Amino acid sequence: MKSTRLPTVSRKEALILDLLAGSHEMYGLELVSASGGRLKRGTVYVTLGRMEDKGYVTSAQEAKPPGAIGLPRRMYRLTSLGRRAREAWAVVSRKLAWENA
Amino acid sequence: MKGEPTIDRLPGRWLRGIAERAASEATRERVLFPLLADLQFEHAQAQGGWARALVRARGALAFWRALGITWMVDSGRHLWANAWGTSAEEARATKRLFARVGLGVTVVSVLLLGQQYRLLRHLSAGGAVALLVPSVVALAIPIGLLFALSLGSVKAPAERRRARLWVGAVSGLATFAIAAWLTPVANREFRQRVTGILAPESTGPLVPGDREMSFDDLAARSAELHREGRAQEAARFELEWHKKLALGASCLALALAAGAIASTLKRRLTRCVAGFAVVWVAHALLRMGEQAADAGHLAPALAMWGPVAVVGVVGLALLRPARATAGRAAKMSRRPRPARITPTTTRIRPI
Repeated sequence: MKSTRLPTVSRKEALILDLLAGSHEMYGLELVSASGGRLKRGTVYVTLGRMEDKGYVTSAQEAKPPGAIGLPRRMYRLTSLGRRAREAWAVVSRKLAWENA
Repeated sequence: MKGEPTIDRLPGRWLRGIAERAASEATRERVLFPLLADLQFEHAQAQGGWARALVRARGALAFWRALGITWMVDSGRHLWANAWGTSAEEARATKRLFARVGLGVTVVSVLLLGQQYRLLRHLSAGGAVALLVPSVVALAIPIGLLFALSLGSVKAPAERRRARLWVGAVSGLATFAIAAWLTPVANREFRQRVTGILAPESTGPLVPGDREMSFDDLAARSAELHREGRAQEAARFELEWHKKLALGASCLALALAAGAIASTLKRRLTRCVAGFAVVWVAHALLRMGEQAADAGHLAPALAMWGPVAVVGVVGLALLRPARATAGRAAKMSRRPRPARITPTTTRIRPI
């Protein structure tokens, strides 16, 4: 049965959606440095994993050149649901902004 | 070339080994390996020894933090999904035990409250019996647990043993919460109401006694008396503080004792008598310990935890041989019978 629950967006998820919307794809540490200290390197991958479960982002391992050593980085990009969630979040934040004023 | 990363000098190799041992495949692929990949990339980009050492340290810190978070989230999910047990058999056993313990606690509570109600009715304060419910339930949980578990099934497979400990732990937590925070408030209100009936001329709130203080109040009062150099008076409050904790822990000890009774005694009547004996011995030890601590002959912690430890250790000691006997019996029943020698199977071959 299809879930009837509306998808939610936490503050950190909204920030990641904003950062990913401005670029084609990014890796975890790139998001941390672009956030200006608002994302932490110990938690960003957990948040990204949760967002992948929700369907907001998709990820793939980068293709490494032959002879390269080490683990391949995981690159994250926005899905169409993530894009719509970001737009909806922006509308909700704008409409309810007076509540926090 | 000097300074170029090689397989041996790649940072995060040790952490990768830990991830492979300590985390699930999903956690590794989605959280820990991307973190380590970024650490290796950042390390390769860093200029100079200090910068690389800093990258390593920050990466290791982030790794442990991520591992801790995922471990907590996964454990929480696992507990939520398997609250009753990890298998259908265990879930059934746990539900049955909880129902039986609930029944046992209700019966013991009704018996204890009925006695109090008869006394209070003479004082025209029958309604105040409701305020005694928390203190009665805090006592009834360990007793009800002991009888419910010891009068249950004789056979104790692994699922039921785990369920028994699980029920003991939950009952212990419930007992502790009731004794630590609910009972003191209800006791205070009860004394206030009964004093209002017996001595209507007395006005104002009464000074709370040691049994009317919450867990935190008792600790604060005891510390205050110690500071004033009144250690003998502080013992009374320390005793009550330890009693609340020991009452909760007694559920686990009694669950062990109940397991020993259920697996060593066959007849229900004998098990019932043994249950009464355990309750009586534990109660007598607690009373003796309390009096000795009040007189300053025994440390409050020892007075309260000693009887719990005695019941737990004796229960565990009796449970071990019973389990070994059950294990031997099960092994015997599984062992194939020796083949019967018949004239057709014993042929003598010519040399």
